[in-house]
Amino acid sequence: MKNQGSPPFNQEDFFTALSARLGHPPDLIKHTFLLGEKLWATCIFLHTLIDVKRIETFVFEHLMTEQKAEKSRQHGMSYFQKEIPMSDITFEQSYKDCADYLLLGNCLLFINGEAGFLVIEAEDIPERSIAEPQTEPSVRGPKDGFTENVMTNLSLVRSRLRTQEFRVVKSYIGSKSKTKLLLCYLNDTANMKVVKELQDKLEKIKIDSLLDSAYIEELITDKPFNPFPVFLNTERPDVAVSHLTEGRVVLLTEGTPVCIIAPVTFFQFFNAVEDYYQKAVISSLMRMLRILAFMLAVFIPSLYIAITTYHQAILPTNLLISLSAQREGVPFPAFVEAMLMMIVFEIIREAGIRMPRVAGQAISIVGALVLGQAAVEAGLVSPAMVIVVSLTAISNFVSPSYSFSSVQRLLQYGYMCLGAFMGLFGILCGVLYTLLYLVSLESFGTPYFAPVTPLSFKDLKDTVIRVPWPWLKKLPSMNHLQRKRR
Amino acid sequence: MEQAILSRWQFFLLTFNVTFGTAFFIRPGGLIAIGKQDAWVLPLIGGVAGLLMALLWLGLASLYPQKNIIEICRESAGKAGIFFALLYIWYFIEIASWVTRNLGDFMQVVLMPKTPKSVFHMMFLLVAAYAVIKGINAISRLSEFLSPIMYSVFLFVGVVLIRDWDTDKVKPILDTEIWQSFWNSNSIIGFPFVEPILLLMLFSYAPNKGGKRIFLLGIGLTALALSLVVFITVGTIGITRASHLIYPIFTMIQEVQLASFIEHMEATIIIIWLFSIFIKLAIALYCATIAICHLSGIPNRTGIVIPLSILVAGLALTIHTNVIETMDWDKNYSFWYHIVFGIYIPAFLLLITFVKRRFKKNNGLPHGKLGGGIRNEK
Amino acid sequence: MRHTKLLLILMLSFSLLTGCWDKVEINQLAIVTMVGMDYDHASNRYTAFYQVINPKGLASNKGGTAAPLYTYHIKRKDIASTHLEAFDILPRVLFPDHIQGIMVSQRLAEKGLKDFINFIERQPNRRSNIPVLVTSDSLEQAMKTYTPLESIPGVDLRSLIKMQSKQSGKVSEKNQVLDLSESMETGSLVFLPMIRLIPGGNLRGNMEGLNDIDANQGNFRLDGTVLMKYGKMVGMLNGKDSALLHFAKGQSTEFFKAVHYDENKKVVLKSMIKPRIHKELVMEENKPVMKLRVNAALQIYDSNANVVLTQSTLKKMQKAFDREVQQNLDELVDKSKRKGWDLFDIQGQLKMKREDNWKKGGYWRKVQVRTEVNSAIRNVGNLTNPYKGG
Repeated sequence: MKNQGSPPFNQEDFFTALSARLGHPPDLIKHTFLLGEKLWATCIFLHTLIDVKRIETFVFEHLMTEQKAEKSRQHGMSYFQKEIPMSDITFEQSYKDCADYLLLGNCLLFINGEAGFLVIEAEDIPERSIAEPQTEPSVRGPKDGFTENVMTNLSLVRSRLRTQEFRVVKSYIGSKSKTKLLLCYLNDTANMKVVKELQDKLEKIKIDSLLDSAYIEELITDKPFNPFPVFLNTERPDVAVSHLTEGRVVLLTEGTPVCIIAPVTFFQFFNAVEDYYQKAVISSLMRMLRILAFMLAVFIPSLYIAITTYHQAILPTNLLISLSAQREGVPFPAFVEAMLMMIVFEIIREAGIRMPRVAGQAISIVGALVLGQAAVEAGLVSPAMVIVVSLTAISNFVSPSYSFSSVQRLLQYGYMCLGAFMGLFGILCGVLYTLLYLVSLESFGTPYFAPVTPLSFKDLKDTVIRVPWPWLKKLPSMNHLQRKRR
Repeated sequence: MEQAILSRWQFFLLTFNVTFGTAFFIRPGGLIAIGKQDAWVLPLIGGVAGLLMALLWLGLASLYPQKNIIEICRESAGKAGIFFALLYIWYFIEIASWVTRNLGDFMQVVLMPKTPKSVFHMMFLLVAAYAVIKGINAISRLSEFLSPIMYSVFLFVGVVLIRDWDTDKVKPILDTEIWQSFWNSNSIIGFPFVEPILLLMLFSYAPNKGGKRIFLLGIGLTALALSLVVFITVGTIGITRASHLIYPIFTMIQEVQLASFIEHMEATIIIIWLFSIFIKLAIALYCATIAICHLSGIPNRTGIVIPLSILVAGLALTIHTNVIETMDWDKNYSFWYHIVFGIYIPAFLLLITFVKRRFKKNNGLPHGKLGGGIRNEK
Repeated sequence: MRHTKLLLILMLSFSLLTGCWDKVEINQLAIVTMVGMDYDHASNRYTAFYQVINPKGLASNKGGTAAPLYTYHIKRKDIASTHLEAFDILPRVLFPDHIQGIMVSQRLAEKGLKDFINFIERQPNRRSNIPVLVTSDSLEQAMKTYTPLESIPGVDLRSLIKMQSKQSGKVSEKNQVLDLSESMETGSLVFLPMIRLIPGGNLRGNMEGLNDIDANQGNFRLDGTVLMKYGKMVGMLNGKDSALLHFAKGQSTEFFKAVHYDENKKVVLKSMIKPRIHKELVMEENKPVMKLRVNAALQIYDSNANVVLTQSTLKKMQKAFDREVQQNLDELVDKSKRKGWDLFDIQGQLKMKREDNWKKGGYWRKVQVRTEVNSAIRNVGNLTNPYKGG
């Protein structure tokens, strides 16, 4: 802008330049009103970003009295700063950031003849109301979920965490989007190394727009091709708070209801929120069930291929005979058959997600009846393969974390190829490779496979099983926290 | 070099897996053929010998704290030490190729007869090389994760085998010429009880407290476990069959019948047992790699392990033509070959060190700088 | 470095293309359920029979259209070629892992099974825990017999043997390949079940007989046991004798015996659990003696006399049982001695002795067997006194 710097200058020119800087947008409002005799004030704001009603009530209406105009003549701008009954008002003298102030949802108040201006925060973005999270429903437990407004989210967290040690660090990321980020942690518990590392990494992010927390996950990792999530993500404030109290760091992002949590370990992806609202025995069993489902999802198709094409001896005689009878006349080898079915299933699934809700039913009918039944009847695939694929598919959905279930699918296909190549031995090599990768992976200093390896018995209390609360007196030691006890 | 401190449990598992790793399915047949129903005593005697050897190594290692065997060789014997170091590197490579070969033989005999051995070798070496690149932390964590699974399967098999147990088969206890049979089966001292010398490469990663005791414990428990395996084999499938079969353990599981539907589970169990072979291979390869790294001064493991695994794959194919040759070698030469590395060289190094330290004290030289002494010796 | 890695990965994935040597699709397998082996002295040839499942036929058996199995046979000079050259007629891969039983002809058993056993044990995909059966009838006919109820003859025979060894002890449980190979060097006896054919419809080798309600026609029947020593057949025992023998060795649970304890008063006693057996080798007056004591727990299965059960009648019954069983056992001992069979596994006992003079070869022939039977009736069934009636 040309007229940067010292007052008084021609305000009209400045306003025009400001408007031109933003391209004369239709939502830019410049309102000039008379305070008192010969005392004009000008308000500039983007009416799409702020609460116009509040400005109208507390600025226009409130200030338009002769008495106040008189006082302002005596005390200058600082008088208004105290007088306007709104909470976040700052006095600025540098004119160069004016456009940015507008874009962050502020209303700028100028008084003719006065140097400097007031920045009145009145941001109001249309937001949806707090609703139950779609992706993480729970039968028992709180029903509120994060929204797209980061401050609302913060209030949901704060209302559950009224401790003095709660710290929130605000930063903006994205040269264009200027996305607000809140880094939350507990000052007396969290591992400060993790906080520091996260902060450093966040600072180094260079991107134009950040639309979801998923961007951060990918931007601050050292291994961009790592398919395994090193952040936990959740839409639930109760989950976020539980992780905060266990000393982990929560990142709330503007514009998305999904917050991300670090550090995280492999086994935490098997924890559903309800594990903590149900009896310990039940939730332990459920976790084992989830791990079983994970194993099934990853190994069933590959084991089926490996066993039916290499190690038929494993099968009980009757099963062998019935499988053999089923495959009689199937034109493809088991591997191709499995690949075919799995890919068809992936297509159906993708279609189900992308289709408008109303058409969803058609997909399931076509998928189940036409493809499943007809393919078997036509002798293209064996009924056993249909069972295998559907079992895999169902097991895939058990995983509480969506990002984790995508890795499952990746592993599935990898093992299928290896199983078709070398049978169980091939799968074994694949498993060893995966395990080596996993055990050497770390999420912000916490080994990914902790507490199973490196083994820490105390932390096993809340891993595959969950012991009742009275026994969970210690915080997980694998995260190297400042405190040991809860 | 890497920065890592292993926990005691991890270090124990490494020792145990290295010693027990391949021995448990290769050794029993031969031992039973020699020792008959008392074959279970032989691993125990072998274990005592192994413990004595381990004490020798530990004695050597304690003179050079935080040093591995390659560094010990160089520091104690100077230029000549390079020769010993090269010998050890060769030995480590050889262990790696034996392990690889055992895997190939085993897989080809029992699971996939038509597949060429080199395919098994290459696939396993590929993953093992990856493990070496990932480092000792990854290897020890992998063994920490897999060992409980593996050994619970062992336990499960053991429990299932109770059905077929026949006490008459192990009777009469201690009725054979045990010392005679032990001398005939002295190769058990070489394999597996010299192989934990691999761990001498890893002592700098050992837990600060009790690392040595854990090492000894690992070897001792291996002896017990081997003895138990032999005992169970004799008691379930009997002396006659066990001494004729190449892999009696395999036959044993092949014949396990728990219920009619858990009948043919050998493939599954064998695959799980391959974990132990893999861990042993990874450790041997890792030790060979860092030994070369130490000697050559190249810090990059990746650049060394890849050509090394190709070498191991080649050696594994050419080392013996078939299982019978392996057995012959084992019976006639293996003992003498192994104790060169297990006893002679360590004892020699120990002797040199003693002499040198003595010499240095008399000369009043500052303790610790050993380089000077060697030239004087010459 | 990056390129090297990429190149390496590419090369490795090419190696994947080399193929899958051991791969065979499940529907390309010829699942063998039973193997038969015959030997013809005249032509000096082995004949192997492979009973192969036709999965489709088995699955659609309810309709009864396709045959559930087919029997192939190959006649060659040695055992290995009967296996290797099976591909002359078999369009699928021979898959022996699921063999349910091996049937050999009596003439082969008499010649000796050594070669055959060695062949089986050498193959890792041939299990050794499958029963070996001997048939005195035509092996060819036996291998071409359809069985009612269990449509796979191998399964039929296997469960027949299992039931027999559990229920009556007429067949020993130790009738598998592994028992034979175990005995190859110890010289102890192995008891293989003897199979005979009941003539009738199914023997014709087609399925018409299966539609006949008379299951007795053209079926297998277990008939006593064959004694094998060093893999060679040395003799036969009838069902009664082998039941007694296995009972006295503590191998079978159920043993029936009808005893007369007074005039015309008969009671059928059945042992409830495996009897406890005491075997002891001692020197008595410079003669080696094996003492065999059988302690049995009995149950009254049937009784024809109208007597009120009292303590004394029970005692009488027990005594009669002891006496008669001991008598039968002694007869068996005599037979054993006469024929030179080590029925009571004296050699096994000798082996466990520490002193060397017990271990001389053939010493077992000098050992006398002294039997003793003690029984107690523990269960009288659901009836204290029988109904009187006419």
